[in-house]
Amino acid sequence: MIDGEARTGQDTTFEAFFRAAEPLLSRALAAGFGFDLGRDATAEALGHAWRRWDRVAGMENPTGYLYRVGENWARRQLGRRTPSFAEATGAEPAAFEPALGPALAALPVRQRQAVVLVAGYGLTHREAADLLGIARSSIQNHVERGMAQLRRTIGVDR
Amino acid sequence: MTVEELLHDYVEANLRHVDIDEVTALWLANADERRPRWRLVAGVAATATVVAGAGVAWALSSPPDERTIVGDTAASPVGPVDTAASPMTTVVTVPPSAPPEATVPITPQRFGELVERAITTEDGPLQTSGFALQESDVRQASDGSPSLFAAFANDRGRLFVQVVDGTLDVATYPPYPGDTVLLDSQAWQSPVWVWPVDSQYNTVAVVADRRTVLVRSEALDPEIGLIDDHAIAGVVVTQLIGIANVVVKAMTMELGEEGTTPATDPPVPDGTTLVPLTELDAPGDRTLLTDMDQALADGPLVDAAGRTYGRTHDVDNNELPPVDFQPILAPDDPRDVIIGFVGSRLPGDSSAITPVLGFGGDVIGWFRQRDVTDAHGTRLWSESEFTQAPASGDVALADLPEMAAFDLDGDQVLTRAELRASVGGMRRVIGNGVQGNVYATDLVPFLESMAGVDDPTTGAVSVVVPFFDLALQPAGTIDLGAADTVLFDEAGQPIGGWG
Repeated sequence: MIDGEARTGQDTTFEAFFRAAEPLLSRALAAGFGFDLGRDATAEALGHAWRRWDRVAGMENPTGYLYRVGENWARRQLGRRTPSFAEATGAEPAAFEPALGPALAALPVRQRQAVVLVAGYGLTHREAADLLGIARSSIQNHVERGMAQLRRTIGVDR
Repeated sequence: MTVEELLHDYVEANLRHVDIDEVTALWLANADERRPRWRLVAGVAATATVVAGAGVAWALSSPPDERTIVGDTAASPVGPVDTAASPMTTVVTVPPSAPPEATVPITPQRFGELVERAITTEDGPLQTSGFALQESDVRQASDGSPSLFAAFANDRGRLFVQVVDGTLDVATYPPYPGDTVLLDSQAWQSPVWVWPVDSQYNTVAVVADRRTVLVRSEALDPEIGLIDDHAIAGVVVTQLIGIANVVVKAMTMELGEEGTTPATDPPVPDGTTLVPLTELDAPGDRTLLTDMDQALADGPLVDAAGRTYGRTHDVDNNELPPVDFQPILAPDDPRDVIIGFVGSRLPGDSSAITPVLGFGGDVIGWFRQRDVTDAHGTRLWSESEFTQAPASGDVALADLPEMAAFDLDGDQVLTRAELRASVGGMRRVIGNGVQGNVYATDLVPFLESMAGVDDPTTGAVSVVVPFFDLALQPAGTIDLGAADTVLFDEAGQPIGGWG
């Protein structure tokens, strides 16, 4: 699912890179730090990319690099607070499983990100590992444990 | 519905994507926040409009109708983004007082070209690697043509570039020993160069129209040094002292020399005081000590031979060198103290004094580094000793064998040798905080740039090493390829990093 341009940076046009990388960053950072903070972190990371585009464009994994930029920024903003997974500000009201938000929030960050990216959006383990900058085997463990915890919490067998 | 489907739908429904125009606006907004908002000197402003933008101010000693300054960065730092244009084009619009045609599209590619030109200029040695565009502006030159201004930055400082009619001027910030900026003959009537000397832009050294050195501190009245019958051809930063102090060597040349233009006396703004520098020494190279916070009132000056006129500091009695340190970041918790080393060297003293600063800028102690020399004066090695400031209270860091990584309990985590061995000589701030907050990374460029000390032959080290409640990760789990800052464990193995 990771766009080749976003991963390799072969296309040196920022706009093209933006189109490919933004969805990945938004989802990963929202999964890590909540919808509102994750969105701001995505904007900060992409703003960082623009400021340093000459450098970022030449990176092997620019999206992964920007993920860490956004992650660092979000952590600074978050401090010791817990990320909120309440419905985002301005989001359309929808009838979701009410236990899902709290269940997501209760997961460790990496488990939450792995679950959302792999189980929710269908990224491969390799793609998620590249994006988050962690080992592929770790992704697999995070997904398995996170999904098991989610199922227990919200009472869904599968 | 499966958990996977629930997840996808829940996230997708709440996810709000970022628009590229928003990133553009964010970048511009951040550029605005970084700009200082003060006017240089009221008296100067009355004669020549001076607008500080990103630490660089421009002034012109020409009649009002020929002023080069347009706009006010505080009111309109950069024009609005033209969202109809390509998302990658920042349309920077000159404020309304300027002709409407003075609108120049600026692209990163264009600025990249400027950087290439800047680093190959003959105007002086520059820090040449890793510059990235921070902000840009377009101003109007005296002939009505737009001049292009851009500020770039790398991890050691900032680079200011101005292009007027194809002529490139370059300045760096902060100034480093040996940095030279020469004003060419065409710059006779050009804007002044302003060097922000301290981190908050409170103190600046200005060279205006080759004849005037103006040193100004926010807290003090301005002083202007005028070299009679000599034009200032440029300024060489010869020495950095602490943070707020810099020795500026003004290079002069006789008026009427070939290639120079005799100048009329520069306008003297009301309320300013002219101090003839001829009191210092014979005409020629002169050195002006601009010790802003402490020395200006006493008028200490150091001549080219290093002789100090005025007050100096009693190093032998462990008196701290002048330190004017502003908090860089506001920690979430007072316990998130970050300890920093800032190398400095006092004039006329071979020992290097390195204050150890708390996060809030308080000095909690200092290292003194002494060179051990042989009978011929050749340095053999350096020794360091740490002295705890009396008021530092609960921080106990005494008797460290050398500058090293240590935690707030005083436990040495990593020696300097280990640090250097681990990173091949690369000096990087390392550290982590509670819950992985990386406060240190934001402090790195600042302290590195402030220190300006990177001389392995003297062993001077400017390293910030904050450790508090470390949350270490297993070795080998993090790809450090994109990291600007690396975290090491006690064994000196890299275990994490941040870009």
